[in-house]
Amino acid sequence: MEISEVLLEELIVFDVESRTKDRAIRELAAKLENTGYVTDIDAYLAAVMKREEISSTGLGMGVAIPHGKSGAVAKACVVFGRSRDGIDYQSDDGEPVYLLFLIAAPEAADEHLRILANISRKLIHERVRNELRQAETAREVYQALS
Amino acid sequence: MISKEYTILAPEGLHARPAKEFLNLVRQFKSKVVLIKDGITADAGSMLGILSMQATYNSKIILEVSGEDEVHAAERFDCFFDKEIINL
Repeated sequence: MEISEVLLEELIVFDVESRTKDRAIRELAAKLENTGYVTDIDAYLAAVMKREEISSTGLGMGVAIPHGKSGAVAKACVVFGRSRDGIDYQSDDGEPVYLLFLIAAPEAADEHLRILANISRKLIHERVRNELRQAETAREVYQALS
Repeated sequence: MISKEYTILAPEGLHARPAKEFLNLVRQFKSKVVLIKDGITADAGSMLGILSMQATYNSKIILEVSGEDEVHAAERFDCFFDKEIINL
């Protein structure tokens, strides 16, 4: 699976305004309104927040990958958000988050784990993280993740 | 270096709480811990590395532990993957 298949250009937010975890997740989820991917944003958000209660998806290195699977998701997709100032995310390493990938996946199967693994594999590399933090266009985002 | 294969017994895979508990264990030891699955390797010392493995339920994963406390660490990982992970 290529990330570009699930991360659409209209689902990229270059300047996330929110500075806290809950607000940032909601800000990104709002991009899913009227896309046809998620039929009920509130139900989907409830799944994301429930997952967040188990353990923070702030994974360290300035990266967070909140995710939820829900019957309210018609088709898997990813919203990418980049914060310039950093988000207080209660991350594993206590550092602010600059790169957020919000995954929405249907209830069945392990599709969200596949997408999560795919994105994680890219973000392990410092070069990729730096390129994403500096990206100005969707093309640069796709290039960094390719 | 000690190398061992485990089957992931956590229903949700090595993800969420099981992944976090595993990472906490890895950090208790000085040894370097590497994960291998389907020919791909990752550093077990970071959550991104652990999640990149896509270690779903019933999948097999190889752990390579190397360092001064590798024997102690490997024993601890045995207990984690054979028993503790089931109840997380």
